[in-house]
Formats: sequence, C-alpha cells, structure tokens
Amino acid sequence: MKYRILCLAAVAALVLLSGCSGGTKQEITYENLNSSDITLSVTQGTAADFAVSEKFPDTKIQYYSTIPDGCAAVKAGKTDGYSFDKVVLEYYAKKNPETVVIDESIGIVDICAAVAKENTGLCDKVNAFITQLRADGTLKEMEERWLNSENPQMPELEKPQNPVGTLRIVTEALTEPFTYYADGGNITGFDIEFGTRLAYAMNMDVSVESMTFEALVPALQTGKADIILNDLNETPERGENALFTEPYFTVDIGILVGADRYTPAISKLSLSKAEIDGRLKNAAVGAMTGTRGSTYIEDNYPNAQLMQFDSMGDAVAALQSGKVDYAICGMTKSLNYAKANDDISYIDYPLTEEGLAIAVKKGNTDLQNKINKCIEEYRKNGVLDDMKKRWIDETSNVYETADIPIHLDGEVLRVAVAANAEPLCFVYNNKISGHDCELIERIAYDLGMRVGYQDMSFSAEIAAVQSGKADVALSVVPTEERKKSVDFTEVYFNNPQTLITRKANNENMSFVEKVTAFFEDIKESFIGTFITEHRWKLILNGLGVTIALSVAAFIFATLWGAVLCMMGKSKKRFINGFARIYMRIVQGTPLLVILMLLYFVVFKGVDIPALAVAIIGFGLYDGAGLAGIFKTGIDSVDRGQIEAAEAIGFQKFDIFKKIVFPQAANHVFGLYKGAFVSLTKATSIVGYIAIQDLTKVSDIIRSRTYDAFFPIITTAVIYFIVTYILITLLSAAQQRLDPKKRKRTLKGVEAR
Amino acid sequence: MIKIENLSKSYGDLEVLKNISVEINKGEVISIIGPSGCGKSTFIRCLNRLEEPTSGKIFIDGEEITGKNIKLHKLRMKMGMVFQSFNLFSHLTIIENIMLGPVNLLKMDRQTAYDEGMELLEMVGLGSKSLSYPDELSGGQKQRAAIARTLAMKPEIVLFDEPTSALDPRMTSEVLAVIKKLAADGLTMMIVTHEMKFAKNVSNRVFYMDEKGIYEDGTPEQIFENPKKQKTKEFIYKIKTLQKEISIKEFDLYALWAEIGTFLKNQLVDDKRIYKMSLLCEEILCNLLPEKLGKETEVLFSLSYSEEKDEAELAFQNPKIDKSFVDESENELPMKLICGYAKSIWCEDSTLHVTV
Repeated sequence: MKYRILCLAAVAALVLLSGCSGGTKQEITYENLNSSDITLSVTQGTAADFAVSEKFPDTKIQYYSTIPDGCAAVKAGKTDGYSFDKVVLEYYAKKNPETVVIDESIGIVDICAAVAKENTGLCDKVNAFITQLRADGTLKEMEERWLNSENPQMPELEKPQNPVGTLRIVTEALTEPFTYYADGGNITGFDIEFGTRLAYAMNMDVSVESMTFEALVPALQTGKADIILNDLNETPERGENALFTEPYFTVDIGILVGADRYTPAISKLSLSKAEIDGRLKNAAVGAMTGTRGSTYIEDNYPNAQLMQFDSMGDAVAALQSGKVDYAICGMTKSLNYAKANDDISYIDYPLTEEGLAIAVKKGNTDLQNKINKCIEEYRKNGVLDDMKKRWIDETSNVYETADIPIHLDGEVLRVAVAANAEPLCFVYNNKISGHDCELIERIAYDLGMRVGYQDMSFSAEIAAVQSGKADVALSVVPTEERKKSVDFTEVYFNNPQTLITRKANNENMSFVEKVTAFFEDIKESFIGTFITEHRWKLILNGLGVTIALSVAAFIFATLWGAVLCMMGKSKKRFINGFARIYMRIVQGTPLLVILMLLYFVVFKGVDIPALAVAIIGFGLYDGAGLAGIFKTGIDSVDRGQIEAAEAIGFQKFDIFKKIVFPQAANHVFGLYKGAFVSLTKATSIVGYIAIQDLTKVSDIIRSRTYDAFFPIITTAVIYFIVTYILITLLSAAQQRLDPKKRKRTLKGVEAR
Repeated sequence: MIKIENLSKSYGDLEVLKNISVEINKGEVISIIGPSGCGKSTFIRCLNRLEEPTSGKIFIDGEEITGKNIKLHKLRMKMGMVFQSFNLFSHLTIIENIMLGPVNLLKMDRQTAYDEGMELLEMVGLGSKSLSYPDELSGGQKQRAAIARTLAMKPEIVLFDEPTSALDPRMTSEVLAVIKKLAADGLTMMIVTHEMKFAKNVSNRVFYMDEKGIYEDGTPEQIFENPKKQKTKEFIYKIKTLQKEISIKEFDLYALWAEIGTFLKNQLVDDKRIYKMSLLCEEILCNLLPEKLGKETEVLFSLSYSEEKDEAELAFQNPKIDKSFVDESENELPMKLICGYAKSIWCEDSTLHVTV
C-alpha cells in the first residue's frame, strides 16, 4: 500500500513538473513574427491557416485540430502563437492571463453558413434571410449581445405555429461565443440564434446536433443534416464539398501569444464586477479630489481607503510607488496612463456610465437641435464608430486624423476646450485636435461655420458658455447641477470611470504565495469544471453514456465473437473462410474508420440513434478480437480430454458445456477482461459521431473554461476509477472460474 | 462378444490396417504387442470409433456398430477406454471426474454416484485423493484415477491404449497391479502395451501386430516362448536383446546410456543395476578396449536380460579379443574397476562377456 502511494505521488510530481518547464525565449513583436525561428499554430483549413501562410511566409506552421488545443499549446509554451478569430482568442486570453492577443489583426474572415452542394434552394433562402437580417438591424443587435456583453443569454425567440418540417443544424459547439454548450448542456451562441431565426423565417422547427469538425461536411453530404453553422468560412477546398452562403458576419483574425513574450501597447486586465468588488473591498484607491471617480469610490466602497490627490498625475505616481493599489479616472485617461506606463494595467470594466455631451448656452435651442441632428446622423452613418476606432482604440501615440474641410468665410463657432485630455482634446502636431475636436469640426462644417478654439481650464468651460464668451463647451458630462447653468446636446461618447492598477508581477511572489496561488488555481479550475453551470451534470451524463455504451457494446461483441468463433471452427470452407476474412479486414481497419463508415455510409439516411451505431460499430470490431480470444481458449483445452469425454459417451454439446467451456473460460478470462477495459477506453472516440460521452463532455467543458489541464486530468481520473472498478468486479468473477480457488467440497452428497 | 470383419483403415494413401478379422470373447484379457507404428493404437481406437474405420464391420453382441445411424455415444458407454496420457478433466476434482459420466449419462443420483466412485477410488488406492485436482497427483495416481473413471461407467469391455508408456518404472508397476487385479476379477480387456513381462503374465491371449494386421494370434506362451512366424520371432528376440555396431572412435556414450536405460527398464530391471551397467559400458568402451585394441576398432555390442537367472549380460565381439584378454589385464586399473562392478567376466569366441 505504501509503495502504491509512493508511485502515485511520483506520477503526480511528474505531471506537475512537466507543467513548469521554463527557459527564456525571444520577445515577440508583430514585426519579428515572420521568421524561421518562430512557430505559429493554426487549425488546418481555417481562414487563419491561409492568413498566416500569406502574411508570414518564413514562419514555421504547426497544426492543432481544435481551438482549445491550440490555445493550450500557447499557454504551455509548446508553440509561439496560435492564430484564429480574434474575438475567440480574446475570450481565451481573458480567462487565461498567461496569454495575450497581439494588438494587430492579420486579416479578416467572412463567416458563412454551408449547405449541401446541390441544395441551392436552401442557399438562396439563407442569402435572402441574411440580407433582411442586416437591413433590419438584427445582426447588429446580435453582435452586441453575443460579442460585447459580459454574460450573453439567448433571447426568447418566436417558434412557428404550424411548422412544415425541421431544420437540422450541425455544429461543433466548441467556439464560444459563436457556438458552444451553455448551462444544462444546451448548445447556444451567435450562430445558434442565427439558425433559430432562420428556421422561424422558413416556418420550420429547429434541431441542433454537435459533432466533430471533420464530420460536419460529411453530415451534409449524407443527408444527416441540412446546414452547418460553426463560425465557418469558405475555402476553395471546402467549396468543392459544400455550398456556402453569403457571409453573415465578419471578424478579425488575431494571434494568441504567451503574455511573458509580448508587451501589448496597453496592458489590459479583464475582471468581472464580482472580482472588482472583491478586490476593492479593503484596498487603497487613489483619485483626484472632487472628481466623479472619487465620489464613486466613496459611495460604493465605504471600507476602501480612499486617498485624494490634487492631480491625477499624483494619484498615478502613488500607484506606481505602491502607496495605493488602484487609481480611478475616466476611461480615456486610464487608457493613456496604461499606454504610457509599462508598469500599469488598465482594468477593462466600465464602473459607471459617463456620457460626454456638448454644452450650449441656456435657451439656445436652435444650436442645440442643429448639433443633435448632426450627432444622430454621425451615429447612423458610422462616422462615430470610425472616430472611436481612430482616436480611442488606437494603441500607439500616432493618430490618424481626418481631413475636415473648412468654410474659411463661415461664421466662427467659439468652442471652449481644455486641451489637456488626450485623446479627446489635446495638442497634437502643434494643433488642438482629438476625438471631440474632430466631432465639433465636422459639426461646424455641416452647419456652414468654422471652429475657433478657446483653450482654458476645464472648470472655466461652463462659465465661458454661460457668460456668452463661447458658444459651446466640449467634453462635458451632463450632471443635474450643470444642467441648471447650461443646456446639453445628445451624448456623443461614453467615457466611464475605470480603474488602473500596478501590473501583477509573479516573479516577486514568495514561495508561500506561489503555492497559495497554485491551490487557488486548482480551486478555480475545480469550480469552473464542475460547479459553474452545473457542469457536473454534464460529466455525470457523459459518464453514464460511456458506461452504457461500453457494457452494451461488450455484450454484443461477446455474442458476435462467439458466433464468429463458431464459424471459424466450421468445417465448411465458405463459412470459416468468411469468418477468417472478416476478422482480417476488421482488425486491419482503424476503429474510427469503421465507425464513420457505419454512420455515414451504411446507415446513410437511416434514422437510427448515433449511440446504436456506436454499439454496433464497437460490437462488430471487438467481436473480431474476442473471437480470436475465444479460439485461443478453446484451442488451449487438451484434445485428449475431449477424446476422453467422447470415449465416456458424452455428446458434442455436453462436451463443450462441461469440459471445454469451463477450462477455456478460465484460461482466457484475463484477456477477456483486458478487452473490456480496452473497449471502455476506446469508446472515447465516439464524439466523432455526435455522441456526448465522457471525453466529448470534457472537450465541451474545455471549450468553455479554456482550462487545458484540469478537465483532462479529471477525465483521466474518472476513466481510471471506472476501469479500476470494472477490473475489480471482473476479477471477482474470475475467482469463481478458477477451480483452484473454489472450496474443496462436493455439493449434493453426503461425504464419507 | 466382439466380432471384427475385414476392418481397414487408411490415412489418405497411407494404409495402416488392412482386412483385420478377429473375434473377441467375454472374459478375455488380450495384450496387443508389436513394433512402433504398426497400428496397435489405431486398431483399438477404431473399436470405439475414435478413429473412423475406412471399411469393414464391427459387431458387439451381434449388433453392428459401424453403420451410419448408430447411436455412437450409447456404444461408447459400454466400452471404456484408458489413455496413455490419462486425459483427466483438469478443472474437476478426482471424484468429480469419476461422477461426471454416471450422473449425466447413466442418470445416477449424485449420492449413489459418489458412493460408487469412492468405492472405486478406494479400490485403486486413492480414497484420500478424492478432492484433489489431477495436476496434484503423480502420473501413476492419475492413471489409476483414470481407470476408476472408466470403471464407473460399468463398461463391458475396457480398452487400454498404452496405459504405462508415459510413466516411470515405479509408477508403471502400481498401475499394472491395478490392471492385474481387474483381470483377476474377470473383466474383458484389450491392452496395447510394451510391457512384455506384464503381457506375458496377465493376459490370456496375445495379438502380435505387424504388416497392417494381426500377424500372429496366440496364447502368451505360444507368442513369447514359441513364436511360429518369422517377424514375431525377430520381434521377440529384439525385445530380449539390444544389439548394435559400435565404432570405438566416434560412438555417442550418452545415447548408448539412454538406450541401455530404456531397454533394461522395459525388462523391469531396477535403477541400481542399470547404473552399474552404464558404468561398465563406459569403462570398457572408453578405457579398456581403446587401450587394448586401439581407437580404430569396431565392436559388436549386445545386451540381453535373462528373467530366469535375473541377470543382464553385456557382450563385446571383435576378432582381436581372445581368451588371454582378461588374464593379461587383470592388474590394470580399468579391469579392476570392471571386476568390481561385474558379477562375472569371461572371454570366448572372440567375445568379452560381462554379467551384472
């Protein structure tokens, strides 16, 4: 027993150590990615695959079959980077701080649906549907829901009253937020909402089934499904086997790299509200006196130590020197501090909503309405979005300015600004410019005027408007108090209060802290794998499927093996020849190929549950192996004993029952037991044909938690426990078969 | 009781038995002897159709058993068989081995089968081994258990297929003693055997098989003391004498030892004397003769055993050996050793004789 524990400990230590391999590697930048020293990973056939080979012809390419595998490889340092849709990678990086997505995009990818090659009718319907969805703004709404909100939920969607059929969707369901398993094992996501809406538009019911990526197109070809919705893009190769619709969404392609190898322009930390609450509860927070941030902390975190500074610069200095742990200010400022200071991280969570508006003199409704009209228009035609991209989202200090024409003879619009708020309004290239300035310049042009800036301190802006020294003031948050003195236009930009903090630095952690962090990690993994969204139910279901499948398949295999064995012993050449050739062919073919053949070819168009197909597949395959085992057992029985039984007068069946079988069974029971355990483990491939067994479930959970280590170990441990129990049970049965282990008494007689 | 008409058996083109016709009567104990490969075993295996005869008819109590629609298992129940390699069911205890047939085929109730089985076991001297498994017994014990198993079916005739060939001499005698007892009780038996002494003492009829058939059929006295036909004579002589040419220079001593051992064991000579005989051969062939006659010599070696005198006799024949041979070397070391082992030693007709 002691020895066993020691062995287990040794194995555990090995597993842990293997995760800690280190070594310093070259720093990664966008510029040095194209080098033969760098290995980038992709999933074969994805848009990222093509983009990487095009952008980085010198780089070595490695392939991972699933997204979680590719991401986990980056995390474990097995590859320098993994390229895929940027939103998906950002999602991963958010959950795995060891990784980051580089700032640059390497391309874009159009996401389409795919239908069977000949099904042009459905393709046309989908295209029309996409056009309509784009036109009525639903697509935009969906994007907002699935890609930009913290905890996306599938909305209540209408169901057809008198459906004319069922639209069968297949998907891999491993790509959050497009298609993934949510709480309770339902498949959800952007693509699924799209599919459900599509079905409604076609007056059909909808069914969603998940299968391995490789099986998706065959499912269309064999008529097992109508449409693939899987964050899928068209490639020439895929185009040969399926028909692709118009794109319904476009995403950037990004690259995920190790956080220790890449310094992003802005170090961002993604935290949820709950995490922020936990951290701020007793923390020291710095803020500028009298600002909204200062009030926010006072109101919401009464136990936090609020330290007020005269300027935000002082607050940041206090943060850097460790006097405070967090500092609070508007988002644009926070971003600037993070951009400028390598040791400061921006916490990507809006604490408040702070709409910026333009102040006009009280009663000047004419100007107010004109400006409102302009803002409304810019919002609709995408100008606001474009401006945000160029000024706010820009990660370097170089901004792309727009060339706004000026009415040189127009009336002057006097604008009060405080030109010290990069990137809203600041001196850039010796000129007052910025996001807000561009906005007011555009408005002025549309109103036939020209802008005249009056640079002053921020506190003087409102007074300037109030007193008529200026017509408008920029970048003002419309508070109730201010509304008493001036009127405000529509909000044109949201600049919420956000936090900044010192960058976490693991190297300075003490041993105890590291150990604590390690166990904290395990605890988090445990919660993520089992507790969150009741995932233990998913695991339990998977385990049930694995056990049911193994047992049913093994019973079938045993029966079929017995039949094959008998056929092999037949004297008729036709019959034993069949058995021999069958066993050769089946044992020489990979199990997965047999399963796929059964599912997609033999049972093509037959409505049979995948589980039944798997039971038949494993039964047919293992039957061949068991037939061999049975033959070995029967052949092991001494020919002389059979002769002796014949000589006594026993007939064939009795000889088998009383002499051959008991000895053969005892002889090969070990092999038989081994075959059962092997089969149980081999069932882990059934995910390929849309069965959610234990392994598939762990893949599903992995695709949600992006935690490579824990679900895999968990699965391994569960398999180990299950097979251990099976072996123990079977060994108990074996004890009864072994004559030497029986009690030496004779039943039914009175002994002398 | 059993009548055999024109029985033949071939394996493909190889004819093993040809036109055997013979009648066997109740109470006869028949020994079947003959050279290896003459078809002795095949013959008795044809009788219960473990081997299918190619042609010919067999009648038991006037009923033909070679026809197509015969209930073979019924026939076999009447005809027990004991095998060379015992063939006990290794997953059953000895008593279970014995009870299996009576309970399942004779539909005897378990208690009766058990009681009768235990009686049989006691008769063969294995009363204490009833709950042992076959592989826990010695060869002789296994064969006795197998005999008990056969008897449990109450057969009318028992066929023994070389029952002692796989046993060493000590165990051979314990099995033969059991068979002897059965013969005395009047059981009809056919025994294929190499134990000539046993065949002579126990049976009341002997078949000498050769040339694909029963070559000579007679009483033990007739076959062993007074064979009429040429091949029988040669066979009987051969089993009494081991004879071969030996080249002093290149003979294989160990092979010779093995041959001597086998031969003498068949004559039921004890191990001690076999050992002495081996040492004598070594002294004479490796030391004495090379010294006296030189290495480039051939001698005619013969070994025989006389039951009456209970003596084994070695003879070495070579023209150069003469009467003076023994006297001359009397004081030399090899001869001293030889004299130590031998009972008597003398020379005549160019032959050196040594007895043990």
